[in-house]
Amino acid sequence: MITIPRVITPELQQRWDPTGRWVGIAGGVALAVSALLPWAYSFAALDGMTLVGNPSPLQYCGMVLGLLVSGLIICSRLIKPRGKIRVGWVRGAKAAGTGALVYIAIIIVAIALELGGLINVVYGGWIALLGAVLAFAGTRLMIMDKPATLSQAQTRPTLEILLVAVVMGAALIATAYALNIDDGGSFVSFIAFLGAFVAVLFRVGAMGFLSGVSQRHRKVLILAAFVVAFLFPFTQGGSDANMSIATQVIIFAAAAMGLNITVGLAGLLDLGYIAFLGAGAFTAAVLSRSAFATADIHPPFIVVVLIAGAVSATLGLIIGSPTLRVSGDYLAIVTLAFGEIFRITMINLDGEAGPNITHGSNGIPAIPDLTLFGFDFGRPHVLLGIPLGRFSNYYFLLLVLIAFVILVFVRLNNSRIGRGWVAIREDEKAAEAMGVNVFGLKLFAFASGAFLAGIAGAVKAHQDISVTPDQFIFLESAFLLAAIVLGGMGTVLGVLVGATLLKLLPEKLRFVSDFRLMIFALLLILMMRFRPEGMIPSQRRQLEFHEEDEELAERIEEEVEETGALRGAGVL
Amino acid sequence: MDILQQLINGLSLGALYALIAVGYTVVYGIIQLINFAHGEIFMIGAFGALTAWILLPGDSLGIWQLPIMLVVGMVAAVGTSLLTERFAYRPLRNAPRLAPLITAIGVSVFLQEFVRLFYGRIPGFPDARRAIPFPQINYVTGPAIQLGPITIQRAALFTMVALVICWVFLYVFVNRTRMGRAMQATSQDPDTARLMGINVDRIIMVAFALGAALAAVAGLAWGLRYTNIDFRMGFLAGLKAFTAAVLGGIGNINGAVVGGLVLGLVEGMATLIPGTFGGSAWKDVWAFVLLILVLVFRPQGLLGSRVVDRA
Amino acid sequence: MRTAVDASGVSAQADGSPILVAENVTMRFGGLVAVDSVNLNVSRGEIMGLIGPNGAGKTTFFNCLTGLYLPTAGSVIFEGALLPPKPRKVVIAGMARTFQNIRLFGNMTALENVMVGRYCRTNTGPLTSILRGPKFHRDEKATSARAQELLDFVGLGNTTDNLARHLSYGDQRRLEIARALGTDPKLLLLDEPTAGMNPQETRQAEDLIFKIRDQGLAVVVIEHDMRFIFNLCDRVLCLVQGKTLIEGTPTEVQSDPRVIEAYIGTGPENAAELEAFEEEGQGNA
Repeated sequence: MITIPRVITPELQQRWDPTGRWVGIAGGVALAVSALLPWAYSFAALDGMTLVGNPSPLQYCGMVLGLLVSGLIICSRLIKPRGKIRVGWVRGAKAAGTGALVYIAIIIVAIALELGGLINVVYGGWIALLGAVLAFAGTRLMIMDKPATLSQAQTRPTLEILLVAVVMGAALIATAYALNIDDGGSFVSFIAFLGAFVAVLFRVGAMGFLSGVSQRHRKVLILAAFVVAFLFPFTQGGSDANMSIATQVIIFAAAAMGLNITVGLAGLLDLGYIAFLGAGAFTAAVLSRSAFATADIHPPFIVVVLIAGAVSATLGLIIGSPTLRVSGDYLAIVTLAFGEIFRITMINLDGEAGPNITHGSNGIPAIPDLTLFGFDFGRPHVLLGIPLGRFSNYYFLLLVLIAFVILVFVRLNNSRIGRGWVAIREDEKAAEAMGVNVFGLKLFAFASGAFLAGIAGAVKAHQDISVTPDQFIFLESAFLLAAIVLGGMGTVLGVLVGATLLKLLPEKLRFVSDFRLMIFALLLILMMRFRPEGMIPSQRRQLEFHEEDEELAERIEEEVEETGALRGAGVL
Repeated sequence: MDILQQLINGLSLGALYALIAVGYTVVYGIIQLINFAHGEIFMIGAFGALTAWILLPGDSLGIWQLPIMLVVGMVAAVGTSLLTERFAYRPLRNAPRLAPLITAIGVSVFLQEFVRLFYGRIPGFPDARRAIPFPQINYVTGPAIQLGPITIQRAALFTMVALVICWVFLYVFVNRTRMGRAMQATSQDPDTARLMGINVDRIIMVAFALGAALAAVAGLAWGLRYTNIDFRMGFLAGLKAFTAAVLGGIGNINGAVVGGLVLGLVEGMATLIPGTFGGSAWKDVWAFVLLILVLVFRPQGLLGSRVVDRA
Repeated sequence: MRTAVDASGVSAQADGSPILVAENVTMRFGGLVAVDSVNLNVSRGEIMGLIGPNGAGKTTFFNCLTGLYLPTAGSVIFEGALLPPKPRKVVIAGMARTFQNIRLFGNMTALENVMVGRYCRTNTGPLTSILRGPKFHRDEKATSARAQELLDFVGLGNTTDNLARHLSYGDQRRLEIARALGTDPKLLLLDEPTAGMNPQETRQAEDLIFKIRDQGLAVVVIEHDMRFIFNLCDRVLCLVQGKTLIEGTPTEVQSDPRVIEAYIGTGPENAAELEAFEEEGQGNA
């Protein structure tokens, strides 16, 4: 491996730290001020950055980053640490500096690409770049401080709850905004901003603080999350377009969460998981009232969901029983093979190569919308004065579904069963020798994941209107796995973020749609190389992937002593 | 005589699987990695051969081009394989098993997309988004040979002969050369092998190269037999080949060959099953069912696996 | 003060009734006979020592007893019933073990390690875990309380939240014992518990094993430290090259010249060690 020699040595930092601070502050201010100036020559670039004194949203983001840099540097000097509470001012400033540079660089490149040449970047943009460069350089010269320890910090409960509400609200606004961005360049820039912002929060220690807050006010947090999620369709102003994407994202996330039990908790590599989703979907399709449905029974939807789950779980038991006894690598290939068996079988059950159950590669189209307790999911409704279309209806149902899946996931993880799974991941033979029912637990994980996929599939069938075998190819299993692996194994938030990004990015980045698979592949390779535990991993997984990192282990142990448990499948 | 015909067909298909399976088994035997991307190496070998033919002057189908196509195909496959080993897999040597496996999936998708998107952009080369016709070289393709009631395609014969030659070469290499013995030692115990002065990194590279070379032969054979190649050909063939390797006993080179032939035969016979669940629509299913049965009743494979359980 | 033994499990009497009877246990690996017709009788409340030079087959024998290996011949009868050769069933029947190379769950805390030991004695199922009724909370509290109790018992009470991989070597060995005790065993098999320990830690280990015996458990210990074995054990079995050399009280075994020869040899270069060994024996007689 190539090691990059450290350009800025600690000795250098000792000498230049004061200068670095001033440079950093200056850079941040410059960047913030530049937001009021035009950045691009034409209004068509990104989100319209040509006005003086009237910053576009993306310019505001730049201003935020600039203010963060300067503000954090100033605070690092003015605010002294109190007791054991340490805020990572300098760390945060450094992250902000780097983030600002990356952000402005992306914006400048985007403007150049969209308008055809760097010449189209106007003086404001260059000042922004200068500011960002100064911020970056300045913060690089600063001496690093110790990591933040805000997880024990507390303030008045009312304030904390307010904080939770504010954070949730901000998340809602950011998501609604991001979903409404049409321009690819703007979308990438905004995501870069979000990434930089979150990174700063992490380094400053705000995430540690938030995680402490969330542990203390768990119920408030969950309630807030659901309120926010519930409110989301109302922010769309009657448009159903984004809701369609949102429903796709949630189904995908629900399936990924189910897979997270198999892969993330029990450590079983399932490469044919999409088959379980497909089994659920086809079961629901066959039992539906579609003109093409091949069965004559039409049970109520609740029953169909349970049947679909049972069918998938049974399939899981059938494949799992023989193969979970053998090594994990074989399991991967066998599950992959089974995924193919499923797909081929679905194609072959077309009346010629086999009994007609699925109409072969045409699948079962025209699946009618759900009607639950008189509520027709297909027709738009008006709630609180805002029209909600078909996809919004399904969205609400899916919220219930994913809430259920998350509940199952979290509760299983923090239980005797969850401990058993960790033990199996650590040392299977030792676990067996201590009385853990290794085979039983593996089979249970496998079948549970399958069950959850089955019920998700049942909803998917009605939402997608048609079910065809080619919706369930291996690549989809790979995407589901990637959602978990990239997002963060073993955590709820990680999987949600991973699933959202993987489903959302192809929609928003249509200008690279030809290359999206290649980008996906590169992402997998790079992530596994540099951050195999994912973006938002559980602490335990971090330990598992970085066995030799003693510093990490000590840091985590400190946290465990303070908070009483390894940060695992909680929300953060 | 349908049965005999299918037997021959099965053997020739099996020979293809065998050639690809060796690559899986050798790499798994040494570093316990399922090289997901090996199927794509097979595909690249085929594309390499095609490239050679395109670059050679004229549009002829002369047999003299065959060795050149073979060599270029091998170079392409071996080169790609070594690059992936060096940059994708080697840094993950000590990581938990999940990481290299995911990486391998990434490499597999990457190689597929790379070929699909960029092959056609090189001036003079056909667009790889669709299947590309493969040159039907004289003597190794053409009118089938009649042996009594059985028809043998020339390309099928070519494949089987290629397998035999490769197998002989493998046997000599693994059992009679220093490098081969070093490979055996490394596959049994890399740490001790290292202590004995064996350059384990280099052995691993040799393993990858070996598998890639054979996969390239298979790629060329496939192109001759099935008359066209496309960027997706590696997926199913790779999966079947790994099945074959497991069937024969993972880590065991002879096992890979035997497994491949058996798998091909099973597929051939499966097409003869009358009625439902028979015929060519279901043959793949039967192949995979065989895999599951083997894992249940004889996980060490037909010839016994050579991977030591490092408990 | 609660005892370290579950009320429904072992009775605290060292009544001398047999708890483990291994008859003619043989283990063959291809042509190699690692264990050759070894017999072992362990009574309740007894501490049994298992000695022998390296490679004598002691750990292999343990593996046969605990179901890790299926013996080529012979039978293992535990509490009057034939033992199924599955590690999990063996543990449920009441026989727990530690390992020669420590096999803790490194990335779990000390408490969590012991809680895993409680797995087979609890039955909180998936439905209970999902619904989180009163039973779930009762079970979790009981499990973690018991685990803490066991940590205190072995002297690791203040390492509750330390990652197992961070504990000192001696502490790790004790944690392994605590974890094994979590399964409420009636017979504890310890594989070289004092390997790598200094004399002080060894004495602590001795005290701990006596404490365990006082709870009513029987213990079988594989060891190389002679003084430790002779201080600790009621009876000693000596294996050489897979076969039983001698079985008897510590005095009987240590004064048997064959044992001395098996370990040390009788040549002139070993004279000094020989003397030390004999002196040691006389001191303990």
